[in-house]
Parts: sequence; structure tokens; C-alpha cells
Amino acid sequence: MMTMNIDNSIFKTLHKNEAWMYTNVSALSNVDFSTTTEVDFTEIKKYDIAQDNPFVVFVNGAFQEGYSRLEEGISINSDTVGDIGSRSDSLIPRGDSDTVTITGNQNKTVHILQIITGDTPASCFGNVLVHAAQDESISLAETHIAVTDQNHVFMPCTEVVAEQKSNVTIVRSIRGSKEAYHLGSLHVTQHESSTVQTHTITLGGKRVRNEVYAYLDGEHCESNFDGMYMLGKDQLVDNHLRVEHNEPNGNSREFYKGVLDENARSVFTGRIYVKEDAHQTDAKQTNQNILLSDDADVSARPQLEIYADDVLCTHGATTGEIDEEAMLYLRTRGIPKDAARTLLIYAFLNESLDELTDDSFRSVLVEELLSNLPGGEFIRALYL
Amino acid sequence: MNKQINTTNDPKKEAAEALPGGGMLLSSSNPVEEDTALLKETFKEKYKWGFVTDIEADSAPPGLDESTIAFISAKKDEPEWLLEWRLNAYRHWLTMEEPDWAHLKYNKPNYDEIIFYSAPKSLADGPKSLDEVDPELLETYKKLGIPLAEHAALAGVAVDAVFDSVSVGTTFKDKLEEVGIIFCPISEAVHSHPELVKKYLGTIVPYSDNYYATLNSAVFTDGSFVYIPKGVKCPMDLSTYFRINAKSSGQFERTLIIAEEGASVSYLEGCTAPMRDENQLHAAVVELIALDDADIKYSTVQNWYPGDENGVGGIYNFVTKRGKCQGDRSRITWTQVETGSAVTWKYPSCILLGDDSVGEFYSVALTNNYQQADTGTKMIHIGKNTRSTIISKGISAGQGQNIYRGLVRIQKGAENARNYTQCDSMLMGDRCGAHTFPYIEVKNKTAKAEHEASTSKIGEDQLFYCNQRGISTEDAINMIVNGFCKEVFRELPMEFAVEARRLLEVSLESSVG
Repeated sequence: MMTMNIDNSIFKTLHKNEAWMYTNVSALSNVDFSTTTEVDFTEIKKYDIAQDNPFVVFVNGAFQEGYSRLEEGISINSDTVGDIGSRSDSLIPRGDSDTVTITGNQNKTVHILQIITGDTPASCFGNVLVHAAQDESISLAETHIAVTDQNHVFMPCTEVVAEQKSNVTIVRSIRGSKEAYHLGSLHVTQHESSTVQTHTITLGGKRVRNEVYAYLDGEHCESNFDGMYMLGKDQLVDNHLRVEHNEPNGNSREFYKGVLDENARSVFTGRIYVKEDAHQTDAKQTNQNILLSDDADVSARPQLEIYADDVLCTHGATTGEIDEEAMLYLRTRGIPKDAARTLLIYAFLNESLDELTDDSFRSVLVEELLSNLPGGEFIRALYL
Repeated sequence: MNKQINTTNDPKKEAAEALPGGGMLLSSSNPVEEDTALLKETFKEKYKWGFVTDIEADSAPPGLDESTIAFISAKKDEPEWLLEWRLNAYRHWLTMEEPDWAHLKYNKPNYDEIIFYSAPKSLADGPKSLDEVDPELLETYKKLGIPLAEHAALAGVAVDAVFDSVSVGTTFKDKLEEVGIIFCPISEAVHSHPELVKKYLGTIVPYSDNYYATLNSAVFTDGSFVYIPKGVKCPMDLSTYFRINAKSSGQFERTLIIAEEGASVSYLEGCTAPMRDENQLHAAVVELIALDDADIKYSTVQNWYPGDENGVGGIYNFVTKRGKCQGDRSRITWTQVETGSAVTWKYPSCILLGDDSVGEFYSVALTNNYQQADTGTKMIHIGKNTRSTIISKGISAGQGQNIYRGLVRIQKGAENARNYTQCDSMLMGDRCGAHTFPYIEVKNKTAKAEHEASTSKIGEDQLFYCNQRGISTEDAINMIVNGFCKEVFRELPMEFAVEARRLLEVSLESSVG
């Protein structure tokens, strides 16, 4: 089966860079990705969560025509990479894979399933190009899922061009095995009056890096980048964003929140860059964390780099336990301690999922969240 | 002729000219444009305190090698162990690279051209009283407005003034001695209290700490030494003025303050420097140690020469300041007003080791013209119930770049640790920059860390509101800036608060105001 033999020595020293200082993936440099792996295709059906929608399936970076449902505007090429990625200083390796290109109006969410599997470690890329022309609207859901407990490394790269007055929504969820490495990037170029929103939901993986690079190259751009994570034993998520306001009147929001249990770790680095003369920029950046365990660990770097004076930029980061007052409120109403705790965590995280407009994707993610959440059974019982 | 009559008969214009702010209120052209122009004019303020005192210097040859260090050590008649320590630092320094992670652009200093030791010759023997001090020096201090001599008594401030590496006069020494406080030049303390210096020197900032601190350890010339014995509250604010004189003499002060159990002290540091064309390096180290229930307040007003309006010249201020709250319930407060220097690289930090200890950092940093300041703090929470507060206010004007860089680290054992960080930036003009790079690391779930930041400019509506009420634009700007910095100024001791406000006004107001 298709797997890429990459030069894994780059992973060895990645954490010596400032941008990677909290995330060490050097273990990958010792993994042998060269052996051919066996793939179990029967898994695919299980993840076809929206059967009326277009469905694009990749297994270890290779397009699977027989399982996919392509519609107008969705095409597959091999060995194509976009050029937006080269604007960034991302250190994640890029490489060739089958590439899906999405154009035209896609009002039914296009579901792209990237399965990483095999009984030996696999390394693969996943390239997606999204081009929303003027006034077009594209909705996309990416599911990145490692199905076998191996040191797989998956390096997805999605590049988005949003032309004038277009609208792009991307929901990227990282699920599955808690042994895999996901080093993903999302590169966005926005033109005048375009709207882009991305939701990055991290529930699986051992080391997950979610990079977002956004270039607001036109006036009156609207950008919303948010993220949610619920992690447990030995998991780490590193959300790394750079939002460049290059033209006036841009409006951007970064909102990342998560809950960490056991020895889970969260890293957040957000850089808002406002170019000279990009006046009337309104940018906000927030990272909120709840720690459930004594061994959990949070590092946050909400950064502003501003070269224009007529701007409104704020950032904030909070880290702590569950709000004691909210606990008291629930306890005084006769709700047992564990239940109250679970309710509050669920409410905290579910806020992000509520943003998702597509019911089928939301319910799957809620389900996965509940299975990761300590006491999730209790919430499920409430719903059923 | 017609023109003249028109001009004088135009009541609008006449009134406008009468206004100190240039009459933006009554102007019929685009008020925003005029406002920007006025702001630009406002920030062109010259450095008022640039002058050179002509004193023959007794200097080491430029450049640095082991013999330079031996020369400095011999000059100061230092014990063997200190020379050894300096040489260790120097040898380590040779293995280090000058850091470039800061958000700064400047030409790195040429260490072969720096004169690492320079003392005013007439003082080489060390004066015993003010009468022995070179009158030219005293004149210099007068110009600077340092409350030495009779001023000292009036202001109630004991001054240990450093003029180019050698301390020239210490007042109120007797009064301090009565309660057992040691306040003297560190070169003197090496001889009079070697056991204390040996015990604490380099324990907070080890000689291998960072490039500039290591350099300082190798070549430090002088600085202050303060020891507050158990239970003593220092009866007055201690003060020192650093002043860079003699061409190309980088200054390398080293300050060490020890507060024993239950002691408390407030220490003030203020600086002005003469005008110069070439860049001068200043790499100081300050170490603070607070034992159980001790309280140290360290305040700085820094107004070194920032370079001219084209960014030529100015001081490089690469300073390492660190305090350790070693004892339970101890407290260290850093307050700084940074208006000078071409390049500032400074992160006064607190290591909160003792349970219930408190670290505080209050900062106002102003960058005008081509000044750059990468400054902030580190709060390392190790003990239980430790608390830290960071309030940072950055003001950028002209082409100035102002960077807040701060680390809040809450270690695993720091139960119930609390941090609150607020960093606000104000931009004046459209060619300056304000940047915020916080690092927040939390390893304890009972800890709470909060970070808030905002960036704004002086609003047209705010200026309009003031103008409407008869307040000139300059006054309005000063008022708004003062309000913006109020949270920091109120942490400064009285005399410093006054000076800080004046400094900020000098840096901001036009020659008209």
C-alpha cells in the first residue's frame, strides 16, 4: 500500500526552533516508515457520517475512488501542491499526495476523510486545495483519523483562496488513535469582503500540531478561527496561528479552548500581525484552558505584532480549574459533585461544537467528545 | 499687502495662533491630518540633558582579554576569589553567542572597541567627603537635579552616586549605620563585608546566566551594595544615580541588595546620560534577595540618551535584573519607567520560591523616534500561594518599536498560585509598532493565570473632548498619557513619581509647551 518514505531527520531538531519550543516530536526521527503496511479497508464505511453529502476518501494519502462520491467542482489530481503554503515559515515538511481541489458553490458540506492506517508506522501527506471564486460559498469537513495504534505521522496541508465576497467554512477534526502524530497546516488567503471560518477539533493523536496561517489581503475580511480540544493521557496539542492583517478594516477572531486530563498538554501560540496602514483592524485572540489533573500542563503565547495605530487588538489567556462558584450553584440545586463537574466541562467544550451548523458532523463529534470526557456517560444518559 | 491685511483680520486664524496647540480646533482643513502632524511635532522633543563633563579618565585600553580583567581587579584591589570568579565568567563568555531572539534591530556592539574600565582620574584615591569631590562633578549633578549635598537632606534621600564606574559620594551613611544598614559601593563592600558579598554575589544571576550578564560578571566596575539586617525597616529611600560619561566607556554596574528576615527597603535608581554619537553599551546586573517576610521595592527611572531623531547614537541598555523571594511571605516589587536608550533589552524578574511570596512588576516604556524596547518580566512561581501581578504600559511614537515580552511560569508545586497580567499599548503615529509576546506556562491545576492585553491610540474624540474644554492638545496628550500610566506611577515613591511624570512630559511635549 502507498506510503511515503520521508527524510525523518528533520523531526529530530524541530523543537530547537522558537516556534516549536514546547512540542518535541524528535521520537519520529527514530521511526522506520519504509516498510509496506497492510491496510484494512472495511473501516471506511464506519466514517461515512453524512451519506447525502459529497465524500472524498483517502487512505494513507491515496485517493479511493470506489468509496468516494464526487460532485461537480470536486476534482482529484496527483502531485499538486498550492503555493499559499510557501508564504509561511512553517517547518512541517510538504510533499506530494493525491490532491483534492474544490471549487464552485458547495453548500452541502464536502466530507474529506483521511484515514491513516497500517500495522507498521505510516507517513503520508494530504493536500487539499479550496478555491472559492467571487460570491461563492464552500463548506468543508475534514476528518483525520488514525485507526491503528502506530507511530503514524500524517501531514495534511489545506490551502484556501477566498475571492471577493466568498465564504469558506472548514471543520477539521483530529480523531482516532492516541499514538499517531498529526502535523497539519491550513493556509488561507482572503480577498476583499470574504469570510472564512475554521474549526479545529482535536480529540485524538499523541502529538497534534494545528497550524493556521491566514493572510487578509483585502479590505473588510471576516475571519474566525476557533479550536477545541479534550485530551487525556500522554496527549499533546499545539495550536499555532498567525493571522496577518495586510489591508484595512479586517476583522479576525481566534478562540481556542480546551480541557486537559491526566498528563495532557496544550500549547497555544497565536500571532496577530497588523501591517502598516492596515487601519481599523479589529483582532481578538483568546485561549482558555481547564486543568482536571495535577499533571496537566498548559503553555500559551498569545502574541500581538502591530505596526498601525488605528487598530483594536486584544488577546487573553486563562488557565485554571473549574469555576468554584458555578460548582456551588449546581451543588446547591442538588446536583451531585461529579455530575456538576461533568456538566460544566461539557458546557465549556460544547460551546465550540454548537458553532457547527451541520448536524451530522456535530453529533459525531459530540459522541466522540463524550467518550473522551470523564463522566461522559452521565451526559449521554441525559440526552437519551 | 492684501494678504497681510487678510491674515491679521481673520479672527479665526488669530485665535488659532494664540492657542498653544496650533489651533486644530478652529482649523477648517482635515482635522485628522493636522492632528497627526501635530503629534509628530509634539514628539520631536530634544534631549535636554545632553552635555559632557571634561574629566581626564584613567582608562583601560579598548578591548577585552584576561589582562583587562586583571587590570580592573587590580585597580580595585580585589581578593583572589573575585578575580577567579571574573575570569571564570570571561572564559564562559567566550563560549557564548550574542542572543538575537529579541524583536530588535541594531548593530551589535564591537567589543574590541569598548573601554571596559574608566575612572575619573581626580577621584582615583576616593574622596572621603563631599568637599573632596571634584566641583565639576558636583556641577554635573546639579544640572541633573540630583538631590546630593543640601538637596539630599531636603529630599531625605541618601545618594550613592556613580560617575563613570567609581562612587563619588555617599550621604546619610551614618544615619543608616545606626540601624545597621550597609549601603556602600560594591567595590567597598568586597573589602569591608567580604563574607556577605561572597555568600550572595552571583547566587541570583550566576556568571553563566546570559551573554550580557556573563560579560558584566567578568568586567563589572562598580555598583551598590545594600544589606538590611533582620527586622529593620530602612528609614529612607535609598537612591543611586548612574551616569555614563567619558567616551566609549561601557558601564557595567552590579547591584546586590539583601533584605534579611522582616527587613524592608525601597531602592531608587535613576539615570540620564550625555549626548553622544556612537552607541554605548550598558550591561548591568541587579540581584535582589528577600528572606522571610522581607520586602524589597526597586524603582527605576531610565532616561539615557535615546539617539537623535534619525536613530543615530544612543545607549544600548542590556540589563539583567532578578530578584528571589527566598523566604516565606516575602515580596519584591519592580517598578520601571523607561524613556531613554536607543535599544532596551531588560526583563526584571522574580523567583517566587517562598510560600505566600509576592512578585510585582509595574512598567511604563516609551519609545520615540527610532528607539526600540524589548522589555518585560519573568515570574517563576515555585512556592505555594505565590502571587504575581504584571502591569505593563507601552507607548510608541515616531518610528519607535515597543515590545512587551513576559514569562509567567507556574511550577507543579505552586499550589494556588495566582498571576494577573495586563499589558496595554498605546500607539501615536502610524509608523511605530507595539508588540506583545507573553509566554504563559502552567503546570498546576489549582493555579490561575490570567493575561489581558489591548492596543489603542489616543482617540480623536478624547482630544476633541479636552480641546472643547479649553485644554490644549499637548496638555491633553500629556493628561491622557499620564492617565494611561497612572497604575504604574502610583507604585513609584513620591519623588520618583514626580520625576517620572516630568520625564514623560519632556519626552512628549513640544518646545512650545
